[in-house]
Amino acid sequence: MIRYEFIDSSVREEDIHPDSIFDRERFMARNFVRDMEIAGGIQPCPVCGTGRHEILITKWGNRYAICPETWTISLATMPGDKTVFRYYHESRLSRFRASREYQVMMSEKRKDLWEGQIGWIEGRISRYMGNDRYRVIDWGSKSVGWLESLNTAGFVESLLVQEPLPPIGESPGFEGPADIVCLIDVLQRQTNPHGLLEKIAGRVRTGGLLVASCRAGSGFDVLTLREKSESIFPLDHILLPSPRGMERLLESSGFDVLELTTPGLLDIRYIQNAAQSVPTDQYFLRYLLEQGDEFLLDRMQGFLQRNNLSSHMRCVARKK
Amino acid sequence: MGDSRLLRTGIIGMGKMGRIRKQELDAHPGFEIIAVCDSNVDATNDFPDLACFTLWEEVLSLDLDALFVCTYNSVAPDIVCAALAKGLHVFCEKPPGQSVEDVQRIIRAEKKAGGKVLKFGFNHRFHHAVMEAKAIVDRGKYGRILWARGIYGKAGGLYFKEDWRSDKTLAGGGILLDQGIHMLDLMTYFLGDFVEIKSFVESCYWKEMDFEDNAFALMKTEEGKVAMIHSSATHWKHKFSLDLFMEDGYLCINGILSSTRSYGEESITFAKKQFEDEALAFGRPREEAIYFDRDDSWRLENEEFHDCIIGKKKLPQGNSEDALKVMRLVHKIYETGQ
Repeated sequence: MIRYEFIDSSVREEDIHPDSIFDRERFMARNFVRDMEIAGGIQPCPVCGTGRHEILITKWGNRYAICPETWTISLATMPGDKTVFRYYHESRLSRFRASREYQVMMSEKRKDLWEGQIGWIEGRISRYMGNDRYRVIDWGSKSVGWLESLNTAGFVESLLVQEPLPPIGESPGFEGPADIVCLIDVLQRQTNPHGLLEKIAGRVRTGGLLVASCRAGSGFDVLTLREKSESIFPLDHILLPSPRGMERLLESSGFDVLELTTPGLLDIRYIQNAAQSVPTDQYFLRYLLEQGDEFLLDRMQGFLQRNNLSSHMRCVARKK
Repeated sequence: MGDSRLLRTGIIGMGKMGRIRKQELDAHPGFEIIAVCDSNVDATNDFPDLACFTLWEEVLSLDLDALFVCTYNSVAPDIVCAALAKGLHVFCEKPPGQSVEDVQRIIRAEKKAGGKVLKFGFNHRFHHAVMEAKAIVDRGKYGRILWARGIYGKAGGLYFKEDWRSDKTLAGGGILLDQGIHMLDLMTYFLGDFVEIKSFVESCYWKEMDFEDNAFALMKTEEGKVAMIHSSATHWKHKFSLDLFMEDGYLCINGILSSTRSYGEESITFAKKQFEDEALAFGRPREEAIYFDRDDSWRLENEEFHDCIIGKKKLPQGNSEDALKVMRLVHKIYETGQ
């Protein structure tokens, strides 16, 4: 297994999630969730099926349970498929995110980030499949700008979109299996991750790659800020696998994991930005935030990255 | 896997390398170890289920498909040539003998053997950091290589003088031939053939020994790419580092995984060239680093050997051409530096 470190202190939370927009998104998400009816007890871990008893947080009335086996976190009781569909396709939030205003803003804010992400994907493809052009599926696309960037990447021969969110429509694409599937920040919105991965496994050729990213439930800011975290909320975040959970998920869905890393840049910044919410009895954290300088905090982020402890996870897996 | 893919295999030399190879071959479903051999009978005592020999000629009388040669540099070429003449596929640990003439003799035997796979153990090419570096260079994103710098050093240790590697007859060369050869192989792998060489080959500390304990070389290719290497037996803290600087970026490999982890974590750091208009702090570009936790080099090397035999494929690396190139380089450094 490998570990990854990527220091880039030019990335700030407010750059990729401007408060003015993110507050509106959270407001709309909260309103949707408030009206949502979820009945039932704590369900087993959606990744490994282990029974769960421990509730990590309750956010807007929704409980998140922690898996004792893998430390994967997910909603304790999963919403129904119709509810999830409404949230992502029909809700006020989904319409806002599909708006031209939102899409243009995302493209402007995340251009560099996407460029880096495509550079990463290109590097992994080059490493495991060689320098060539491939048939690519972007699964669960949600940004027009991301697709435009991906479409111009040197490794893309043809690009197919599957199960996109508005405003993106399904593309006719190519026939036959894909060489590569990109699954960028999609797993975190799944109630049935095995079902999704089995579908993907059916669309990628043997030896082809799955390149995925996802928020990790075992990440520093998630476990530290818990219900105070502004960046984790239902139903944007239904499932937050840990690296171990992700590995089990992929292995049991027909993939060999080649890489699983957490090169997140923002754990410490999320905590810095929520400093006033850090409980007073968290002395180490308070000491770190109050006494540590920028260099120390950068090194701390580097440590989290290098030891798979950040909350942004990336993985590369090969179809068996 | 059917029986036709199972290779009946022998190992000559059951010292450290022979044992590593055996462990890896045991884990590969395509090799069946039939016999082991070591001139020291005690070295084969741990393998009661196998046919054990003290004379390598006896192993060659068995019905084998492949042979792993993990013994002294002085006898390896004779064994390789004899095995090829018997129609076996041969894997030989580095160095491929003691001299350029040894390798040339092996190549003649290889040609006569017609189609048998002959591979040499340059396992560093199969370390994850090196494979990552090769992918970065081949991708061409950073342009062509300008220069490279490699350091491979270890501490000689308490029994350095008594070790077979320090025996003039058995080894035939010092630290450069024993360990530095890996770095030279990587330099030719990345930069190509060197046509100009300047060097110092020194006994800095182990004065009473027959061979060098340090070698320093500057090498230049026809296209003007320059590489500098330092191979050392007086590196009291073990070190492996390989830096490749290209027109538009760079990569640095630090550490190489070993059983004791004495060369540190294995990592590769890389970045795009960034001048004042891009960098946060000029001279400190935004870097990415990958750390590797597993050494799969032996396994991957064995897999390539097996695949080439079964698939009747041309060996892509670690072939006799690579071996000849690197041995020429070793001896050129010796000639110019002593």
